Amino acid sequence: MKLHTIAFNNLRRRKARLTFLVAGLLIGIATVVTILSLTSSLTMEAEHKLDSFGANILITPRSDDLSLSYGGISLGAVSVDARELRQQDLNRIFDIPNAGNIAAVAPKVLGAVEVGTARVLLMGVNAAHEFHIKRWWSVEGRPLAAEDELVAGSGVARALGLGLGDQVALEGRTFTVTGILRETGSQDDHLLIGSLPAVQRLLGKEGVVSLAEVVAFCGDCPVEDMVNQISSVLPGAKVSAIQQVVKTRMHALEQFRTFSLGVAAVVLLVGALVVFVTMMGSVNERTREIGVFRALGFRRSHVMRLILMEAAGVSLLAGILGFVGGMGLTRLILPFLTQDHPHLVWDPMLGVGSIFLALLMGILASLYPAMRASRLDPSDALRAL
Amino acid sequence: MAFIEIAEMKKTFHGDGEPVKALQGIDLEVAEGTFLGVMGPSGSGKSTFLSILGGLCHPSSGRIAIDGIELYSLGGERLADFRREYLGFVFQSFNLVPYLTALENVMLPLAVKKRMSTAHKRDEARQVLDRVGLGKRCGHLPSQLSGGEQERVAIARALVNRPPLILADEPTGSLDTVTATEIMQLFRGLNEEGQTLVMVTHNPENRDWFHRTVMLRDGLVSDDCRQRGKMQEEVI
Repeated sequence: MKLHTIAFNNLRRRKARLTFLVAGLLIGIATVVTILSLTSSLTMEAEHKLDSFGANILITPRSDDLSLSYGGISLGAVSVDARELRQQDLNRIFDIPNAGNIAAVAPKVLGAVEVGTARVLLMGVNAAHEFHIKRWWSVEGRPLAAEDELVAGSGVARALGLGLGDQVALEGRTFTVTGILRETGSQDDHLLIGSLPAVQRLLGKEGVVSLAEVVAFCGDCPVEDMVNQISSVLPGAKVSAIQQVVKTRMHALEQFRTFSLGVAAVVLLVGALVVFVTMMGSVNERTREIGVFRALGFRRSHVMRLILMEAAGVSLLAGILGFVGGMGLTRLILPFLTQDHPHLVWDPMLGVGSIFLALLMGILASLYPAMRASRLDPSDALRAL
Repeated sequence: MAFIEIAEMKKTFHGDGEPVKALQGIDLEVAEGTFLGVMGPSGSGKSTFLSILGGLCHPSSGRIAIDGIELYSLGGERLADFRREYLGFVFQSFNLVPYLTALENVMLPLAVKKRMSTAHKRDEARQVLDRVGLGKRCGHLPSQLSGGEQERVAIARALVNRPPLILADEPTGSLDTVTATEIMQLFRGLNEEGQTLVMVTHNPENRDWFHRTVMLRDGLVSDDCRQRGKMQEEVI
């Protein structure tokens, strides 16, 4: 028999007290785990949503154009000094410090082409990236798979009478319409979309892009940092952020996180108080028993270790159950907080952290009761002697 | 040199009201192997006497030595170590730990011994439980034992460390006459094997079991009776 045997047997054979102690700490830990895992899952979902909103950084050739538009009516631009954006330069974007936060880079080239008697805007895209960032695009038929294929915007298809499988001649080359973009209500409805290399060749703009859209999200850093980083590697380009969306989203997440941590701290404090009060009650209830221990030759340090071992046992149990309970609670709550199919984030570090936190809170809350128990005068404690 | 030497032992309790003089100057010498009974009316200072002798309560003044060791000159935790190595306690209401089995209760004084394996501790505890006739009740909790059995477990716990001195406080106080006699016979048997015992009791019938009976009254020894012939040969 060792000290831990006594502590273990006390916990094992006094189930009601064990249940109450574990419950006090468990509620606190489960709340913290729930809040943190909810925050984590919602942040991930927010990032995913932001990603699906499309680009949030726009890269265009730097020019000193003076925009001449007012009230939605564009009168063109007065070009002072226009420069081009080279496609190969875009690779430098992946050299920036926050390259890991870039979800996609979608370059595109634009130019007007004649289709029969009509002039239509043709856009060359990297199909995989473009269809990834524009998730709201719904294509009847299929997206681009080859260089001689086109996807027509709904407005263009209507105006030109195009259907799936139709052949379209552009600047002497024949393309097949393999997809019709369902109406988006945006300028995309008035585009013919082809693959980037084919359109570049057609427009005589090999290696040149008109603009590039970047999908980037950085939960821990402001998007302005990424804009500055991209600007520094692309000095000939104008890089601008669609800041309002990003800032609003990040601000909301930040507020939620701060609020969550505040609530978690209060709940933990209450949990620690429950442990403190219960352990104090336990020490008072066990005064006589502690007196017996002391009379039998237990040192003060032995008594203190005994109480702290019990607290550690309770905390360990509460930490494990709190983590499992908190994750279960998150799984139940998450569907009510979001309309999409949320993804529950199982973070092993959160598990380790919750056990560590439970141990810390349990032992800290039991420190004073343990000291008080160890300082009990044995004869006062016993009274019988 | 006597095994227990007490000189001018005084104890005054300072509470809210008047100070209470529990012991007013006890002088006593007890030889090794003695079965000493301490008797007296309620409030005579018996329990305080035993607490001080057991190293549980500092005297206000005086000198207490057991086997030549000055109890209250031991600093720090050495008094606790002394209790563990030299003393065995049998309490009035058994004071068994309710969540430990009979065997575990007996093993308690060994729990903080570092240089002893758990198996060895268990063997020692089983042997002592066998000796008090409870070898087959090892796995029972105190609540599953009768009063007499609980008392035997308490005696086994006091013996397991093989202490030179056993202190017992009213060990038969809550037992029926038959069980009380069995317990006193057990103590007597231990004493016959050379165990020194000091027992506090208010029951005059127990007097016949002792070698020597010290009567306390108002914190002083009022009578010191040696029963030569009836028990073992008195040493002092």
